[in-house]
Amino acid sequence: MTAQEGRLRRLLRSRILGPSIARQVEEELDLHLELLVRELAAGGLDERAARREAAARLGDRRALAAACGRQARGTERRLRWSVLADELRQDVAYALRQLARARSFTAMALLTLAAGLGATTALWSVVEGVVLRRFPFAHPDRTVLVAETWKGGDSNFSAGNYVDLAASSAGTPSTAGTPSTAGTPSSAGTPSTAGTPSTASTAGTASTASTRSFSQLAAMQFSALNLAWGPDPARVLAARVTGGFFAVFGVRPLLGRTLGAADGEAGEESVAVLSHALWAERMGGDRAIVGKTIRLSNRPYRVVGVMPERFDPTDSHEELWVPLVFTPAQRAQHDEHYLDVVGLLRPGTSARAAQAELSVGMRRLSALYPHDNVGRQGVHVASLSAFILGDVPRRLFILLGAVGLVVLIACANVASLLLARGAVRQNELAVRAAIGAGGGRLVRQLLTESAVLGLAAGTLGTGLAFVLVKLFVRLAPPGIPRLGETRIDGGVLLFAFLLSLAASLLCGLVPALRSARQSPQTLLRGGMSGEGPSRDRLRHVLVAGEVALALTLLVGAGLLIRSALHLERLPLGFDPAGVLTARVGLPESAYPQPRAVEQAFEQIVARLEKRPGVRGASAGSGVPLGGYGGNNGLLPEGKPFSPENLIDASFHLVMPGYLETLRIPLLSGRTFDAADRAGGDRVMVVSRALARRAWGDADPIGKRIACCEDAAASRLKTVIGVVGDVRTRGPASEVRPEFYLPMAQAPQEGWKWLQRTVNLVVRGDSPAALAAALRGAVHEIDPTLPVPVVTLADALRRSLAEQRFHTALLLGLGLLGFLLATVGIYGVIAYFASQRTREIGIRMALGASRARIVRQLAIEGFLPLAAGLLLGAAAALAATRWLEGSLYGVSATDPLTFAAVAAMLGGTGWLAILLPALRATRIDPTRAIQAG
Amino acid sequence: MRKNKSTSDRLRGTLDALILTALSGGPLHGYGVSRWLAGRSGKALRVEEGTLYPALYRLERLGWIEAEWGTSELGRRARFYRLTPAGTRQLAVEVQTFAEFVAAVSPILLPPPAALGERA
Repeated sequence: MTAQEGRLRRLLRSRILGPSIARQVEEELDLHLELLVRELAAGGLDERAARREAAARLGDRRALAAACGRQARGTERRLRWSVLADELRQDVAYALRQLARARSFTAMALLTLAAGLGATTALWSVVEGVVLRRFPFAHPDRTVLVAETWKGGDSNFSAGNYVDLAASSAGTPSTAGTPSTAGTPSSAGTPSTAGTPSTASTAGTASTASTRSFSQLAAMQFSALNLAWGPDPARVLAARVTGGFFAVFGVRPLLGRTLGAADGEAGEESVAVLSHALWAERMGGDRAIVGKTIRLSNRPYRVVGVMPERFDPTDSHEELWVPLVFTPAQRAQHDEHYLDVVGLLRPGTSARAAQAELSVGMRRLSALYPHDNVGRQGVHVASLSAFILGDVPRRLFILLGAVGLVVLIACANVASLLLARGAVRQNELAVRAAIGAGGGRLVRQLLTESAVLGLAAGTLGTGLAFVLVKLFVRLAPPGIPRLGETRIDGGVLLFAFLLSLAASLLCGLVPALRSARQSPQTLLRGGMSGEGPSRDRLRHVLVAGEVALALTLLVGAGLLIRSALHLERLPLGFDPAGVLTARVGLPESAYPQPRAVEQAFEQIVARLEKRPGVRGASAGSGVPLGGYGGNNGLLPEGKPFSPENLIDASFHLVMPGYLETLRIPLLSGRTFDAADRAGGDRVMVVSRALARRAWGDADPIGKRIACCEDAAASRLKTVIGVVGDVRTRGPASEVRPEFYLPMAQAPQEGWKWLQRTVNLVVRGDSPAALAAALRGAVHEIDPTLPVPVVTLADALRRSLAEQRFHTALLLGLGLLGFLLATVGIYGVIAYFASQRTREIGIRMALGASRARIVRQLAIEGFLPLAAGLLLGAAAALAATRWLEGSLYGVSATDPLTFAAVAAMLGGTGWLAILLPALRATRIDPTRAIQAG
Repeated sequence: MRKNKSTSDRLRGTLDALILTALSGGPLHGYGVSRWLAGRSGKALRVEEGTLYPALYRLERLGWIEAEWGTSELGRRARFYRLTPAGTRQLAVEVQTFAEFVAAVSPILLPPPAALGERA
């Protein structure tokens, strides 16, 4: 007898066949008493004395019995668990044997499930890494982005507003300063403490700021600077930040220190903190970099620190940080809004409370400076992590939902296969039931089988997920934050494990219950083709479900494809073919006066035009798809100054020839020419959208509109031309009003707003020649300037990349679901046909035509298909609502897409039904009757 | 092997070792164990019934002994206990622990005569 049989026997004996524990203990103690009495009597005591003595020795019988009873119950528990473990081991061994025996079934089921589970695990890993993972700030839930509100949307802060708001509502001062250990360079590898905020923030400087709601507040301004280090000059994105910036995020530097309140003050030398990427790539990861000096746009900066890898708090990919300190003139400037503001809320303060506090201050500022702050009544405080993630969570969850549907289809397929197998295994199960395996045990066995299958598929799937995640990260377009840090960790593995169990339960529960429910007698008596009608119906229901799910997936994919096509065909308003651009910025030190900047760019463009291969050349402050540009509020002449009358329009400072080079169509009037110079009539070209907003259908040529200047005399500009609308931000964006001013008539502050940077544009046939022309022309004027060249065609492709990626993935999932569903339909029909071989043979022998039999089989299969299509249409109508944010030019309930997908599914479904039906009737009747 | 036992643990461990040893020669019922221990210790050791039976049941719960019903000398049925393979292993462990304990304590409490009066 093996150990486990012994355990089983003991358990059965003790519980089922034996006396209760209490009685058992009683019996044992009674016996001991009797034996003791006999011993004592043999030693000389009389019967009664012996009994008394024995009872005394035994002591408190009840307590004794209770103590023993407790232990005995423990024994029973232990036995029960080990019996269960034995049975589980048996079941697993049995399951493995069975699966090995039915090779084609196992292979199909494994592949189907592994594909679905692997895709889900991979996608979950991405969701976990991008959306759910904690942001690397000290207090991510309290880190916020603060913006002024302007016409219902967010807008940047002006320096004046920021300084006043931060200083005036100061509550308790920022953390009383232990003087920072700033300045002591750390030995390699040990991070020093971050620069601590100043002990006293004098009102007005607000070098580090805090208020009642915020323990830290900081402003940032992005600018591109020319970095001179090593042989090639490079353009790097820098962030100018106020003193409390690093304290908002609480991340310790890798080397050296971060910026603090004292940095950037007048008289101090300029310092900079580098990002890890810049340090590793450009400076070779030099550990002795702290203390060395770099030149940014011809100014020296001493490196004081390096941030750790992946420190990119606003996902703006800035490469270094330099101090931002406002001059008195800047502090008084309330009208130029260019600052991004981040803050750290005090513990226990909600974003809404902070928003309320600052909005009060904002309204006060609006009253104080009505012209500069018109329409800016409030402040918007929002979580920084939510801002960084943007729309990405919604898209990822859509994908996750889609892959979930695929898994459901896969599970339906496997369940269908299990049901079929259940019918085949009836005899074996009947025998097992007859020799005593209770219904529960049988169900447990069958569930163990599907669990083994599910876990094996899950393991395969996890292996697949590794590959899929790598592929996803490689192929995904930029724009998904934190994607590079996605990996499969313990949490994801746990998810995969639980998912496999859930899937195996989903697939196996109903087939197991069905198989185990039938009593042994009916099973044994069932005969050869004992196929219960209920099993038929269940498989048909599964088919209907699969079709419905597949239809939902395909409708979603179809809608996205139509959106993508719509975007491709959308008129951009300009012609990107053959156009290259380069963004060139002049350093302030070498070109301090606006006139110098203008002349330099004019010279560059003049040289460009003369270069071989150049059909047209010009320059502009922004370039379509470039992502640069600001807005201004315009007021048509004659309209009173109020938020409703101010038109928010995109601002472009351009040279003559810009509109022609980009082939932006002129609709009426004229574009700029050499006559539009400083001192002449101030002119403007408007887009059609702007013209319509300002003057409706009236002819805008000759009308005047005010913008961009403080001095009333220069504020009004005359409209000389109307051009077509341009989708500056790409095909997926809306059309906005735009206006163009000639560079020669740039507003006083214009070059400062633009940070002395323009985009050169050239059109020609050969990209190589154009790139050389750009570099050559710029370097003739100033060889130290970096010239990053971009083709507009590439920029266009990149702007559509996210949409395309999303569509491609959803299409892939839809096709996978479609394939699985089709295979499922085919499998079910083929199986039923093969089961009825005998019956078909008889009927054909008796004279029934093939056509009739095929028709009957087909109708049987058609009903679930039709039901699935209807069900799927209803489900899709509900589900596509979630896609609305990604659809362009097509509604979520587009009937054409629904019809096309239904036709495709229905048609393939028909084939999947007809083919096996036809094959079934091709057999020889005599053989069919003998078989079966 | 639990090295640093508390006092009650050590006593319990010793009792376990005694019971397991008693059963190492073959199955016995509870009364038989008590007789065996008394006999082997020259009547010096008498395990209280109130201690013995809970110990027996505990050892059964731990899986070191197992019980089966058999016939006693009185003709009535009795629960006979027997060592399991795990119990045999545990017995070796307990004996070893006890030997180490004795070896550690003996030189202090029962020093050899020549060392009496000496300071360490």
